[in-house]
Amino acid sequence: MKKAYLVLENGEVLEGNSFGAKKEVVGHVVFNTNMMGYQEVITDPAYADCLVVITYPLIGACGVNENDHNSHIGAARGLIIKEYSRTVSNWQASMSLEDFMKKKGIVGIEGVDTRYLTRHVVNSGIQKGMITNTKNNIKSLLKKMRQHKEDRLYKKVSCKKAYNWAANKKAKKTAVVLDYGVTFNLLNWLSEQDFKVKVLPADTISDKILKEKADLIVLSNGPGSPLEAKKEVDNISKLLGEKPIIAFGLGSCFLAIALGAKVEALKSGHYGFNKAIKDLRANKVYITQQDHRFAVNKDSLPKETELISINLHDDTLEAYSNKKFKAAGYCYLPTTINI
Amino acid sequence: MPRRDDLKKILIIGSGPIVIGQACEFDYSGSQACKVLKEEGYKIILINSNPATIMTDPQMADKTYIEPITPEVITEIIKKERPDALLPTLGGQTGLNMAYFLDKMGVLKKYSVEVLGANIDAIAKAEDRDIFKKTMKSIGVKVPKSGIARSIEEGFKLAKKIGFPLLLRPAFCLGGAGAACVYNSEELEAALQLAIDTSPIKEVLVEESVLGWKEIEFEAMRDCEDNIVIVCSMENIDPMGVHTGDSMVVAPAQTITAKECAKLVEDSKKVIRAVNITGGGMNLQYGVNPDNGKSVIIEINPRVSRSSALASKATGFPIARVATKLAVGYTLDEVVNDVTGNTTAFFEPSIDYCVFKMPRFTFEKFQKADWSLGISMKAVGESMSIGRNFKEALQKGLRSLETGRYGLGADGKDVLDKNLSKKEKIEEIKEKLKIANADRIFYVKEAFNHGLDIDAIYELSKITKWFLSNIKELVDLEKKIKSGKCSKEVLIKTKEFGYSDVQLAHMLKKSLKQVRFLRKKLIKPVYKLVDTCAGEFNSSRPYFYSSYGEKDESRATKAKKVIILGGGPNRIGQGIEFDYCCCHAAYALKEIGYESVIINSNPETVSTDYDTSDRLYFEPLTLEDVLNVIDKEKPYGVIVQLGGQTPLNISKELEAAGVKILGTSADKIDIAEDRDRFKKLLHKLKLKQPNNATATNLREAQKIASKIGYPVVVRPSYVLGGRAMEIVYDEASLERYMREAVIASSEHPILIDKFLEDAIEVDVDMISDGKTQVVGGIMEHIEEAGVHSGDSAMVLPPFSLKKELVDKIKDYSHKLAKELKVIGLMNVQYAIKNDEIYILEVNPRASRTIPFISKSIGIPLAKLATKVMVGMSLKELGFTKDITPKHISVKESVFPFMRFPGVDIILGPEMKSTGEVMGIDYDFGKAFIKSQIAAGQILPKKGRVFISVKDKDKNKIIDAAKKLQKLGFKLIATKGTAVSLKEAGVKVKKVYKLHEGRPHIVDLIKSDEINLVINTPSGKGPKEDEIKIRTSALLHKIPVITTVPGAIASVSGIEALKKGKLKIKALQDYNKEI
Repeated sequence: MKKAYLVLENGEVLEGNSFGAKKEVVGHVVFNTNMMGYQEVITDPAYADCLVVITYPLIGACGVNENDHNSHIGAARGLIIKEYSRTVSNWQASMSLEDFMKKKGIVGIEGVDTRYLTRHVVNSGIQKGMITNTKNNIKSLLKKMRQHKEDRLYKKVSCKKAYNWAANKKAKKTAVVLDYGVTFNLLNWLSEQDFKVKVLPADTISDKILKEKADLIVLSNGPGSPLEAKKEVDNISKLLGEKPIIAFGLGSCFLAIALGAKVEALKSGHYGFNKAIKDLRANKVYITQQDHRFAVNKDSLPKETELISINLHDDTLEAYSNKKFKAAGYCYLPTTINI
Repeated sequence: MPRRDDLKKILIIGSGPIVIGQACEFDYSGSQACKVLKEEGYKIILINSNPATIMTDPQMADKTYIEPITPEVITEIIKKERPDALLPTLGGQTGLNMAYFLDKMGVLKKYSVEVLGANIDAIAKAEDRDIFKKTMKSIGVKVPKSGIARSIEEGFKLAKKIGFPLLLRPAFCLGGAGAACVYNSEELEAALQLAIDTSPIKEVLVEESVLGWKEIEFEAMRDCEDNIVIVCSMENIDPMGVHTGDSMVVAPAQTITAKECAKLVEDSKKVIRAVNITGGGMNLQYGVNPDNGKSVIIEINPRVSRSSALASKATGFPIARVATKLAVGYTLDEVVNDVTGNTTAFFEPSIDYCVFKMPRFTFEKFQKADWSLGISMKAVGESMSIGRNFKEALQKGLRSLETGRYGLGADGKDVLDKNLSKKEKIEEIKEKLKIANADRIFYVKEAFNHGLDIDAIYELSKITKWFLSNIKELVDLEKKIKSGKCSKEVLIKTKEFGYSDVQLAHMLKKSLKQVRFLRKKLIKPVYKLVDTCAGEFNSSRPYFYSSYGEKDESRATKAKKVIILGGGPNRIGQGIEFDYCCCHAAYALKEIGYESVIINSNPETVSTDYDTSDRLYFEPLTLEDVLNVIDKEKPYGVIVQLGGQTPLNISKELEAAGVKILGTSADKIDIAEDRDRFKKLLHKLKLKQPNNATATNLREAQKIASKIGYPVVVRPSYVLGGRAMEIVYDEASLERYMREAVIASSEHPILIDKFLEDAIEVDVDMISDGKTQVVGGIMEHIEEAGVHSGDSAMVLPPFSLKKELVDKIKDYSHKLAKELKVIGLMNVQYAIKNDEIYILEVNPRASRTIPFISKSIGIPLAKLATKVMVGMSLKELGFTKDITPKHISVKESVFPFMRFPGVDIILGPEMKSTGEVMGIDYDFGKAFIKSQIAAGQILPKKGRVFISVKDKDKNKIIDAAKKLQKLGFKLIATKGTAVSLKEAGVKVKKVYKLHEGRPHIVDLIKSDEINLVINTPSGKGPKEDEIKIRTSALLHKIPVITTVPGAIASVSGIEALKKGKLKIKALQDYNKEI
């Protein structure tokens, strides 16, 4: 077993063993509390700039199968776990997790105290980390980390050509999705909401989008920061009021900025299956799956925007709806669409 | 949503005595419920017949009724107390069944008692197999093919339709009682009969078997606003076919994908809605086909359960506590998760460790019992363990069981007999992999050691390969060590894989001391937090487990603290009574300003509730694990005398390691256990003990036995096949016993004591602070000496002893406590024969009768003992005079014989009971009959009584027989007994013994013509015929009495029953009179 090292921005080094792809990577260290579903996580383009720490210590028992991919394009940059399970015991598995990671270029490190790391992120906030195969010359590694810049990753993980999502051919309504790193979960959800779905590349200009004459425009979740995305925001602004818009994760941040609101980084992110939210309209609570680290500042939205739901624990905004433009943003998949 | 302000008084039904399938977990859930309701300001009325519970402590409820749990008694309580509502979902199957029957009887309607948590329909939907099936079908959740049988004919018809193998599941039964897997039509009739008889409504579900499928469980909760959370998922390592209580379990589920899990969760939500739990929890069990992912729902329990106790301890999420809040109207998001302190209960826990549960069996007590595990539960307890990987959790779990193992093998013990040939070994391995049994996991390892691979082992056992491969990793590591490759890295790896120092010593062929010293230099354990949220939120509750190779999160304070060592997993002889004492120790320490730290490995108990003590370490109770915690916490002292035998086993070594043992010193404890030192002590105090000596071979034993005089009690120090003490009546039996059962040598001497026949046995519990000694209680056994005191029925205060004897017993007890410098508790067992008092045993520790006595006299003895152990005096605590209550308390034991068909129900010196009940009244007969009803021994008021007693008892039974005749019973007896009764003027009809002709007594029993059996064994070894009589009576639910004193007491009880209705009275009201 080859050694690997996780170097954190504060200079701390955690030692482990290498598995999956072997290369040096830098990313944001986030933790995900899902006990199952690592396949959905590592194939979720929202993690393309992340080194994901999975809090559950035993990962890999179900291998990887052809049904649970969350996308074919995007993938997490790195996976940090406690123990890799070398034996696969699920009938659907088509290959082992490690083989899949090698195929997709996902770098892994196992044997790390993931709980300690999680607590570190909770207390110090999300920061950069590097998975590398040497702990020599930490100073230069840290320099590399600091200088590492992401450039509009959501473009890199977007599809290059438009395509149709065939799940619901009989659907009455149509939706187009701007792909900033869309997951199959979202596309299937739209199909269940009775939409025929067409996925468009992230850089599709507003005119072209509107030409599709869809009933609903969807802005997908994706990786990276929404803060320096003037081009995307301007593009979206041109859509406001033309058609109903529903946006998720990164997309909902773009939308919020287009509406004039402020977006902030969450200290340790919302990544996992058990995020409790309160729906303020229905006065009901829900448990949701979330994968994001930016949230809209709820006091910065324009007046006609209703706050739909907030996080039960940290009070951050989880969903909003702007009546004027019929545009809504969510950090999770709601049970029904109600803009 | 508004919490129910319209309710003022709530009645909680407890689960009664500890039985297989329904044990301490309901004391845990019931106590949590009481705490919550008290916090919320409700008045609590509680009924539970089990005195060994925390929930029956008088401060837990406003009115505590320690009475038999029957619909009639509960009706009386409802009449008297007029509760507004009933909470039946925390008392196991008993609680639910009571609610159901009370509803059917119209009582709930008549007195306007609302059912909280789950309505009656919900109960029926889950328990009535037919309604369950229909309900599942209506919501689209698949069930295995099945049909309902109410007769043998119907059963056969269904079997033809469904095909073999099939399962029989009786309705309204707990722990799979009466259930069976049937492989062919030959086995079907008997299995059907048993199943139909066991169901209170005589209904059996005949179901397609999904043997070998994965078994996945969920614990879910729903509130009145339809919010649902899934608290925990679990995967049984033993696949379908083994009851979940008997299976090894892992949490969370390991080998199903998120999507497969999501589907099961969707189904679970549909189910919990359809069954309509409006404020509480539910346990759901699914079978999942490992080859194609298809799932069927197997069973649901619309209440808290053993699994929910496990899930609560595994995740830190207090299901029963939350369920109670939901039952009184709160929604999940209105309930604070007080483990984190800053989130709500509307939350699905995420765990960042692996939890392993291992069931605990006591097959050695029931030799004739079938050792295979099936769908009728046999486990008497369980251990839980936590690790950062499965291997660590597994090995910790195995050494938590206290069966002498220190992990998965490599500890000097072998499941395989060394003398078998290789071929024979492989045969045995294959059999023990195929047929589920208590040691199967050890056989998996042996299989690897003998050349079988993962696929082969999977084919035989159907244990999911992921678990097998983890065990293979252990095997590979051990091979490395055996081949000499023990680098630092490898040694560190062994600790990370859960190996104990004992195993390392064995593998490295070094002494434990050496290994411990070397290992401590290399690596020490760390403690991680259980916080329900995988570290996402800050957590306030200090609940820890150990692991290796990571950062430590422990929060040991510098305050003065005491570590309390718990009792480990429940087993016969050591269970809830000791846990009661440990909890009281924690409460006592809190009252006097000490911090309490509990170490225990039992997930079912109140002691491992996170808010019982200031810090909880969920760890095995081995020397190594305990010393590790002591190193971290650096306590003022350690309490070893409240957890039964478990902590005492390591107390000498703890003391040798420099740990301060609080209370009676280890040296003085040794005097009580060392035969020679004990003899000298008694001699010094001029006290008598039965003649005894030690033998190292058969000849010596024969000589000694002849000298002492038969009968003798033989106690080997090393046993074969689990047999231990036995009463031997003659030389031939001694020779047979020695040959079959024991290994005698100078290292393993045999202890031989004179058996005092027809002696009255008395138990005394004392408390002492070193200066003052006080008798806590004197209990007279109903059964004669020869029956283990844990199995005997006992009466406090003594009912037949003369005052002078009682005074002498008090005096002797004082002398013993003084001489042994007891600080804390002490138990003494006496035998009285011909007015001579003999000392049988002295135990300078808490005994299992402490909770019973404490409830009886209204003084929490374990609490006082704890305060005394840290230096307080009985004077300052205000307890210097013993108390003789005005009322009579009877403790009766309950037995698991129904779970082990074919095993004789005769009691002996080897303890067999799983739990106890208490009957309280001012009149002995009434108290006794209450204890019988509570124990499930329903004595008849009229009918026919069968009497057959051994020669010695023929005279003694005459009075009882006469009384029965007077009470209107018809008497039937076998020849010998009939003759002697006739001679005494008793009218009696003769019946054939089994070999004399037909119809014989078993025929009469089978055709329900007998209502009560009085049969005392002839003593010279159990006779086959007698066993048949007793076991068939048991199967036909006919009460059986096996001792003359038991018969005499039962007759008084029947008399009392016939005189009039039994009165109820709350414990608090009894205590006021003291």
